[in-house]
Amino acid sequence: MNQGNNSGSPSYFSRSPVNDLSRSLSAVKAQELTEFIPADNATPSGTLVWRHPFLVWSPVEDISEQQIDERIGDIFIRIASMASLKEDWDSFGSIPPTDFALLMAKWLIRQVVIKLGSIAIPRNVVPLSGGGVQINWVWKNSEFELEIGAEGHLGYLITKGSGAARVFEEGEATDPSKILEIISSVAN
Amino acid sequence: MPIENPPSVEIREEDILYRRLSPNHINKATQEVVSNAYKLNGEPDREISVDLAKLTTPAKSLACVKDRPGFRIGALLVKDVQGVGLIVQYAPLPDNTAHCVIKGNTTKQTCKLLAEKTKLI
Repeated sequence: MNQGNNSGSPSYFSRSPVNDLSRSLSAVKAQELTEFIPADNATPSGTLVWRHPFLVWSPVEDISEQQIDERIGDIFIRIASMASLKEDWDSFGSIPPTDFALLMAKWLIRQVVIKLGSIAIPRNVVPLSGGGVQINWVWKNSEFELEIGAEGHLGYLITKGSGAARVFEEGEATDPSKILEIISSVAN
Repeated sequence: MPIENPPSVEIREEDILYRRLSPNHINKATQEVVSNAYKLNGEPDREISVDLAKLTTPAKSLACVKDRPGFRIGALLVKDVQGVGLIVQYAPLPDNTAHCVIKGNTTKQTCKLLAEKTKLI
């Protein structure tokens, strides 16, 4: 596996698909994401681009992780608290959010804030029945609701307009980069 | 398991339904109900369990979670449920004769609309 460098030049991480079927899918994907998220401010900032089954690192802008996390600290505290939810947290039998869903939520929020700034800080983050996470963004004339499933399946609901004139659009996605594009479009 | 051949109960549009809400179904900052309250296993809940208010009390509807802090009751009007295209069906259980189900919830949009219509009590 190639390591990143501090020169600012593009560097790429790649990894072969995991073949160990004895490990749970959630734990495996969580591990993959963890290994590719920068651990300190010395590594080049950028965007993780999903090219299944690899994660590819592409530099976008120079912003430290500390600056990002300060902006979205409360939201990340909320996500961290979901890790301690118990079975049946909803009283209807749901499992708690998976490690993968929680990591994906943090990664997506971080990426959309890098891309759009403080307007991309979500209004709310909540657990989703079945082991997922739901994130809600609200702007002046639009809203975006993202569902991250237990295994990473992505679903969304766009709301445009207000009152009785509202228009709704919902869909599914497998590529997180598509979600970033949609959020960017809706927020603007 | 629902009761077979349940007694007939008229459900009027002005009747109120009680939905049990966990603390994670409520936006703490705004005290609004979140759409995840009407989702099950990552999908819209197609048979939403509720209680018919005129046959029960908020305390009885929360009896199964009485030792768990933060659970609240959300109140929905039957006419608001019908207004988003859903059906309310009386479905009593052996231990809950107020039980009903809301049928037809198949979209994220409907989950959001139901949440907006739900008032915390």
